[in-house]
Amino acid sequence: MNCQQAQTWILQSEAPAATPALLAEHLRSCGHCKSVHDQLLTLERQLQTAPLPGMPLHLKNALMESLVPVAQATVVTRSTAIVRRRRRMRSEHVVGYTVAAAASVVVGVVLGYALAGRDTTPVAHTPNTPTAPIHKPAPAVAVKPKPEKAVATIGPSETLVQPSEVISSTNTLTRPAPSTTVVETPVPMVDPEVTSPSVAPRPATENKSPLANAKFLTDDELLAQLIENHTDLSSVVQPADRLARLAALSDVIWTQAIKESQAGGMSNVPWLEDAYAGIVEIDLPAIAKELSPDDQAKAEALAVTLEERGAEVGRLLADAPPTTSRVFKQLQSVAQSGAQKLVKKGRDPLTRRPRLSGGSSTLLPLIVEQTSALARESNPLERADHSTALAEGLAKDILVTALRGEEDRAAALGQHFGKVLEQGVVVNLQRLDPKTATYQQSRRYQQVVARTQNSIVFLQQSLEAAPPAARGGLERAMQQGGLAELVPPPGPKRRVWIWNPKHLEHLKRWLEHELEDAR
Amino acid sequence: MIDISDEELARRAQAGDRPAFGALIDRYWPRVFRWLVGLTRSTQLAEDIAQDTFLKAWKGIAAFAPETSFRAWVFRIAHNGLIDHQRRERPTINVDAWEEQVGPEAVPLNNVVHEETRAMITAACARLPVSVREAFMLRTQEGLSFAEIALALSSTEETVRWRVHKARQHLLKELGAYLSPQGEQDRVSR
Repeated sequence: MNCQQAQTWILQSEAPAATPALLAEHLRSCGHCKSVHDQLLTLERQLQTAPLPGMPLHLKNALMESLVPVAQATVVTRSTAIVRRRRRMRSEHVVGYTVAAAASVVVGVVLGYALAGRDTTPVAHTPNTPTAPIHKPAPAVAVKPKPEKAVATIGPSETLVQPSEVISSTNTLTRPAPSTTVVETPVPMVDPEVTSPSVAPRPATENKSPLANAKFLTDDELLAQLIENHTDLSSVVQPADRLARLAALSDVIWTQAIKESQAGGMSNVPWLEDAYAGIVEIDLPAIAKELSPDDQAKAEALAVTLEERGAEVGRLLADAPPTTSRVFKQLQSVAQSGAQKLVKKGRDPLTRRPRLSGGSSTLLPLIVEQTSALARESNPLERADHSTALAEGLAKDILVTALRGEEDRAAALGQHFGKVLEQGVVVNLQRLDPKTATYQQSRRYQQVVARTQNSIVFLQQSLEAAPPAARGGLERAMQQGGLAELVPPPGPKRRVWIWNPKHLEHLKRWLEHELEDAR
Repeated sequence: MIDISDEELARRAQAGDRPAFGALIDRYWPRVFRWLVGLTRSTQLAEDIAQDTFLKAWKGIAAFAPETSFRAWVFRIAHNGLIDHQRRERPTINVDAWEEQVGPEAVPLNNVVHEETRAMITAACARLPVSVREAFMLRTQEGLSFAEIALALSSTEETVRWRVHKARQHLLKELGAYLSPQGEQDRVSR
């Protein structure tokens, strides 16, 4: 046997460890082939001795539960199998043609929607899971309505992160709750007390216009106010409460649109108008449909309030210049239309909302969009996801702000970031009842947690890769957000997937590019 | 049920014995899962496909011929599940997934070296084409014969043999220095 024959045998053998006599003789005389043989054995031994992952017990239980009894009579013979396959092929052809025809229609519809504006109605999550329902109970979770401390984990996104891990665990790090920013807020139009069961219009003293005490808010003040509205909405689940909180947000937007128009600064007005229309004409009526018969009076009270808002902005029209009067007319029309829709019975409200964009900041419309979507949502996981989307937007803004060297603003944004995580994401994740959680819910839970972790890691990596000019702002943002103390839990293998040198390099290049732009 | 053969358990499962099928799940879920992680690089996706595999196996257990290899059959279902997924969606890439499946338990120093070697092997395996990798992992890690692999991958024994050959050739070329006993000694002494 020569070397070529020996190595071909080694590499093609089903069991390289069992050497036939001829090969053994060659290996004794040839150091190179012996080395190849040894290396292959080492390679295969390493792979064979790799630890086998255990099957999580809850997964096994869930799988066993989902094994429905099989029909014992279904003995498949070759002939029946062939017949079935032919039937399937025939039906697949029919389905294929049908799908092709339907697809062209769908593409047209989707394009139409895309051109008209984005539908922000939350879409049901359809993970890649078996069609059979698999129940995966989540572990016990300590539900704390107002946690003193919020804890975030940085574990592997693929590992099942359980509710208890997010709240407290020895492997996680606890950070103090960031202090709440006190913001001068316009008087909300409707609060839980105001939306009383009474159908009759409220006394004038109770129904103060938000315009009375309001002032024009700067972008940063508006941002703080909107974050306040978002976290406020995160804390309530009942339709009546969501209706009241969203109405309060509509008041903020209404007031700001009027004040900004009057001040002559029109950059945010277009999206504020759209946001107001979306909330008043679509979201509020949709939530009103969820109200129980006992709470219907609250929708009627809100309708009265909206009528009053319309009338109030109508009164401002007399002294308004042409550009402002267009805005006022629009607000008036929306308020009146929303009032009618709130009390209209039967027909479902529209679900499409205009996409909010433009203005002086991309973050402000994002907050309103996510807050409106949050208000429409009753599923705690989807609610948490809306807060996560907001946290992502904040993280990006923190970075850009830090790159511009605006340390104070970056710190304020960091504080908002921490607040959204704590009062938006964590609070809603805690609402998942582990006893009734299905497999898909647990999956969705993991996705939301992973998404949140990634936004935290994004900031941490940014700090690591940031040029000196941006470091101060980022450090302060992390500190204010309570993220500075967060480090990955021990163990070299428990990492978030984004924690990767390649991503870091990419991020560094991106940061340099952004810094150039900022300069 | 530890001593009962796969085929006997499968026969019982065909008669509606769920605990027998549970024993098969215990036996093969970790192997199917590990193999899928190696191919998809995503524990989440691997878990989904593994779950789906065993649900399909249960639904189709009546079609299983007990005189054939159960493990080849179950890997074939998993393979088909993976292909279905790839047709539906873009492949998921998760560079750390392989490492994450193993817990962070403390290990002695020389084990750390083995872990390091294994991590390098894993990374090198990840660079193999999927068709080569799936055959190689089934042979090396899961211990399937070439005939069983051919059955699982809907291929021929010769093709499987060729793929395993290519995988070994490639890995030895890439990792040869690390795999020699001297190389390991040097790394331990460091």
